Amino acid sequence: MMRAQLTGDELIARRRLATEPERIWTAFTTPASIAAFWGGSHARVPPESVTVDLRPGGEFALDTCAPTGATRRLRFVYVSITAPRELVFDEPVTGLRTTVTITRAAEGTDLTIHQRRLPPELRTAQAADGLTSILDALAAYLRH
Amino acid sequence: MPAATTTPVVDLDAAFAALGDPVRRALVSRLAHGDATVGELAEPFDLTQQAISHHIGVLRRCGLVEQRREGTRRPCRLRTAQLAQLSTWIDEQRRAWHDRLDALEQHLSDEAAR
Repeated sequence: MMRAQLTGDELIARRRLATEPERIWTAFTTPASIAAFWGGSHARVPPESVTVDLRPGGEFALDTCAPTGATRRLRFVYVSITAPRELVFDEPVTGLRTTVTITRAAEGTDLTIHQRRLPPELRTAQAADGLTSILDALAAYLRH
Repeated sequence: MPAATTTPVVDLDAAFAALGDPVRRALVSRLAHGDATVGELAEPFDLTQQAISHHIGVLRRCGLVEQRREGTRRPCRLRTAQLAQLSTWIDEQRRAWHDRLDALEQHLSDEAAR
């Protein structure tokens, strides 16, 4: 059912990994590693398709090949780069901003993925609160 | 699910853009409490019915509101299924990232085994 969760900054995933922050950072910023995991279990990413220009404003792009043979070029632009702790990139086509946070834990490393997808008009706390209250009202309405 | 055939996919970008306006957000909040005509919607706002009609037109075109005829009244109704779609993109992103992080975990463990 409806959940009021469009606060403008969503926790998408959290994972504890049995490795060092530096290795995760390398996995997210080197073409061969990106090719190895970005497509998950559903798509293949040809290593030669991955380009990484690791600087704010630099582009990061790759092809995803679905089992059907359909290939899609994905392009991202780095917003900020804080090795080995935080990586922020936008996908201009969707307006989606992704923040990857890497934090050393007592055993292993915590990885979190946050995303926001809001038009510029809603990129203020006040506007995001307004949207949340709409969705709260909707959730209340649907419970009637 | 029969609802799927009568519920076209909302234009997410247009819907988010429409909700960028504070008056339209207030109208959507008001309609979440029940249907209302443009005249009824105009009351709590310091705006003309023409201005409210314009905002309702924007919300109608992006699929968030529908207007029906009841005699001389034309009440507006919130299309709740369309509004709910605004939050489903998050669930889609969650599924994609969980799958991707499974692959990352496998990649890191393959690397460590080498």
